[in-house]
Amino acid sequence: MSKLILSMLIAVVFASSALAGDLFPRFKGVAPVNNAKYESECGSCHFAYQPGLLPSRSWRKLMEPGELEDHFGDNAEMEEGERLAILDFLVKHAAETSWYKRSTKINRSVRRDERPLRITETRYIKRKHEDIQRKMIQDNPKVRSLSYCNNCHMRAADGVYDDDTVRIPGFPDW
Amino acid sequence: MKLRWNCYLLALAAISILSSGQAIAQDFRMPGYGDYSGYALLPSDSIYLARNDTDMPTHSSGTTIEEPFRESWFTANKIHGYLGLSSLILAGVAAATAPDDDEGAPATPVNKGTHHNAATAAAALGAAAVTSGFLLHWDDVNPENGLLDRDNLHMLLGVLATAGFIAAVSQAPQESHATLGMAGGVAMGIGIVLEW
Repeated sequence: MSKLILSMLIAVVFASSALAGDLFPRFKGVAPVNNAKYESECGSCHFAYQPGLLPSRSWRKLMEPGELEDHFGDNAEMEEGERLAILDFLVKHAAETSWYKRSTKINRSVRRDERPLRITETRYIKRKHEDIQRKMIQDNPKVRSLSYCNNCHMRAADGVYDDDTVRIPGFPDW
Repeated sequence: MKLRWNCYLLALAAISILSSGQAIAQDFRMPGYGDYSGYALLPSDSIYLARNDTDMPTHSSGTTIEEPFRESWFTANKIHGYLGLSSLILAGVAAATAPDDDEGAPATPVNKGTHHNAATAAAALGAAAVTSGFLLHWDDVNPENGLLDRDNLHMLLGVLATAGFIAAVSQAPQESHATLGMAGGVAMGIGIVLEW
C-alpha cells in the first residue's frame, strides 16, 4: 500500500507540474502576441490586445482607415504599409483561426452577422464579467473599465485570463 | 486497528472535496500570495523606528503598496485540475500493471495488488474531479452552446470517464472490465486535452 500512496503522490506532483505549464504548453487562454510591429504601434498607446480576442471581420473593420481616424475617440492613423502589415497579423491570428480555448469561446459567441468593435461587447466576455460589481470595475479608479484587461488580469500579456490570475485593485478577496 | 484501503480512498476523496470547498470560500489561501496586496500601510511607531529617523521617501501615490503578483499553486481551479490529471495518471498505472492473460493466474491475488489499487484510486479521484468541476464550473456548462462547446464536451467526457472507471472497478475481474477502463482513460484524456 505504501507503494500505491507513493505512486499517487508522484501522480499529483506530476499533475501539478504539468498544470503549471512547466512540462507542456497550455492552450486555455488566447495566443500571446508575437509581433513586434503590432506591439510597438498599438501597444504604445494601450494594452496590446491579442488578435484571438476578436474574429477577423472585427479586426478588418477596426483597421479600416476611416475607423483608425476615430479610434474610440483618438486618432490612430498610420502609414498604409504598417496598417496592412498589422491587419495581416491580426487577421491571421484572429479568434476563428485559433485553437486556444478563450478564442474559440469568443468566436462561437459572436453571430455571423455581427462585427463587434469592442472585445467587451462580445457575449462571452460580457457573460464572464456579469457578476462583477460596478464598484470593482467602473467605479474603481484603479480599473475604470473592462477595457483595461491588464489592470486585473495579472497575466493578460501572456494571454492568460483565468480566475487564478485575477487581482482586482482594492479588493483582495473579491 | 487496521484500516481498509477503501477507507483511505474515501478519506482522500473527502479531503479533496473539502479542500476544493475551502479554496472556493477563499478561507484556505496560502499567506504571501497576494492576499495582502490591497492592505493599507499606515505610518506607525514601529515603522518610524525602522526608519531610524532618517529621511526615507514616502510612497508618493498614498499609503497602499502593491506587492508583485505571484500565482498561487493552490486554488480551487487547480485542485480540480490536479484531481483529473492524477486520475488519468493512475488509470495509466492500472493499465500498465494489469496482469497478462497468457501469464496464467497471477502469483498474488489481483484485488490486493497495484493494478486494483491504482484503478480504485483513479475512480475515486475521477469522482472527486467531477464533483469539484460541477461545484466550480457549473456556470461554464451551457446546453445552448451545443455539444461541441469545449466546456460542455469536457464535462461530458469527464463524467463518462469516471463512470467507466467505476464500472471497470466494480466489474473486475471479469474480462469486459478492461474495455471499460480503457474507454474511460481515453475519455478522460480527451476531456483534459480540451481544457489544456
